[in-house]
Amino acid sequence: MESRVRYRRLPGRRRGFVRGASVWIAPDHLLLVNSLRFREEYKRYQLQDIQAIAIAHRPRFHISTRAAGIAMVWLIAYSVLFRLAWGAPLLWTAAAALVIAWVYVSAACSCTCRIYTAVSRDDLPSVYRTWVARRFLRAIGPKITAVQGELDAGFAQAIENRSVGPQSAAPLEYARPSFDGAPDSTAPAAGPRAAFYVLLGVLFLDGLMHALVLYRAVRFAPLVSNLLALLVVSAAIVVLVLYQRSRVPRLQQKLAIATLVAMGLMTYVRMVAIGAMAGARAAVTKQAIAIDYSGGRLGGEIEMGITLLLGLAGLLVLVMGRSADEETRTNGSYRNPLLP
Amino acid sequence: MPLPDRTLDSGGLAACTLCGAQNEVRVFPAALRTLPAVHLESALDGEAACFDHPGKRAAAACRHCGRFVCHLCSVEFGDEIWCSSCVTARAGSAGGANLETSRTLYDSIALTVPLLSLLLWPFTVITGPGAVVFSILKWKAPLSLVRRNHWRFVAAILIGAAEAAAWVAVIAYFLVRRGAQGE
Repeated sequence: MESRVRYRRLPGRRRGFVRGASVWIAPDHLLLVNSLRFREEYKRYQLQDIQAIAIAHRPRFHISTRAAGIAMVWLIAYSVLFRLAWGAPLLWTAAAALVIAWVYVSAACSCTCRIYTAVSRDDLPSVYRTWVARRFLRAIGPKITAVQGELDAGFAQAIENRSVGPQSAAPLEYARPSFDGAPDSTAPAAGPRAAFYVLLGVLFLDGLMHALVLYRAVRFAPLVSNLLALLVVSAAIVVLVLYQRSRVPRLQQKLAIATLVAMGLMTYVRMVAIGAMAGARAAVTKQAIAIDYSGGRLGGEIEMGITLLLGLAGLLVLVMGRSADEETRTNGSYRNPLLP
Repeated sequence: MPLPDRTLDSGGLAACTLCGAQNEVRVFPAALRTLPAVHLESALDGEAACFDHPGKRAAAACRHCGRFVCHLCSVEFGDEIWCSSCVTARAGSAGGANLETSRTLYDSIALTVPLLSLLLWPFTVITGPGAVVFSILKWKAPLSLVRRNHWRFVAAILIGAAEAAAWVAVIAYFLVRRGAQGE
């Protein structure tokens, strides 16, 4: 009975805020697990049916929950150490190094891993770094070879006129089942991108507003800030709705989710942190303290940084989407980078 | 989709000649396997016919119900042949085969709800005891296929119980205080 099958996890795990993925191996099959926080979806691949595993190098800018945890630790460290003379420079240097490392790994050491059988070709979302892909291949290769045997020496000539993966005549849903029916991250947007432009514009405006408030006294600053925050949240929600209707690509949806999460975190972390600090100060001085939830200069700097970073990430998403569009126009249709 | 033979020959990384992407492809013998074509032969007079396709010659009998099945209707389970009806009904040993494509993770729900409700803490008056009851009710529900321990349920019960206890303590404190003020 398969319910008693013991699975062993293979290298690679995708830890997203909502979605996660991992690949597990049983004695006779692989199990691809796509988790949606409160739900897991399974797809099995018999070892004897796997025709090929392809790894294509390409940029993957994925923000995992682990990265978010590191950012949170940095934020806590900053709120504790920023008063020290060496605290702020050290932490900003560390942050810059971490961001550069993340961008380098995402751009130069990332890949897409795809598994082929006679009736399917599916991406393995958990394998998206090249070193993980190599470990994955090292782990799974011998198992498949043990079941299927070795390839003949002249297999390249034998396979030259053969097809791997599902035949083109097969219906798309059957050939490439999708767990969520979402458009591919590199596929061009089918609909208008006005909502995303609005989101970007408001993010930059919000960042500029934070910068202005930091260095100049601005009339109606709280009112304008709240209005901009409301606009950011509304635009992000519109982008999410458009994504559900397959009108915008996945990267834009991810940025909208990141924006909403950041806005929520900024609001709650600020309130909790300021409340805790004020409580501690009141306990020491034994005097009532009026709490200013605006967060002061430090809060403003952090919010400005996060908002502008989100805006820059949005610009990057736009540039990537445009290059995908150009490729589509050149070739007439979206071309899979795995296909020659 | 013909795989590029240059990539296959290299055994390592190879650049696509069209897009320049660095690809690595590992091919296995299944790629060269030719699947046998399914021949549905017509049943002649006196020959056993498929239960679902009376005009087609039977190729085997279902291991569970004994119905005759043609090549098209036969489903292989290891060394056994089953008819599609028995597989659908998950009868006999077919019931042991796990064909599940998804599961709801009740343990994750039980753990997340009391934790998330801390952000809007007044809701913990409901979610705390709710998490305890939910965890007990769903204790025997199937967990994930790949992780099988109950630590999330245990944590949910502990957190939910702590939230409920905190509410009881707060309410008791105010009741006692009001009683003391009344005296």
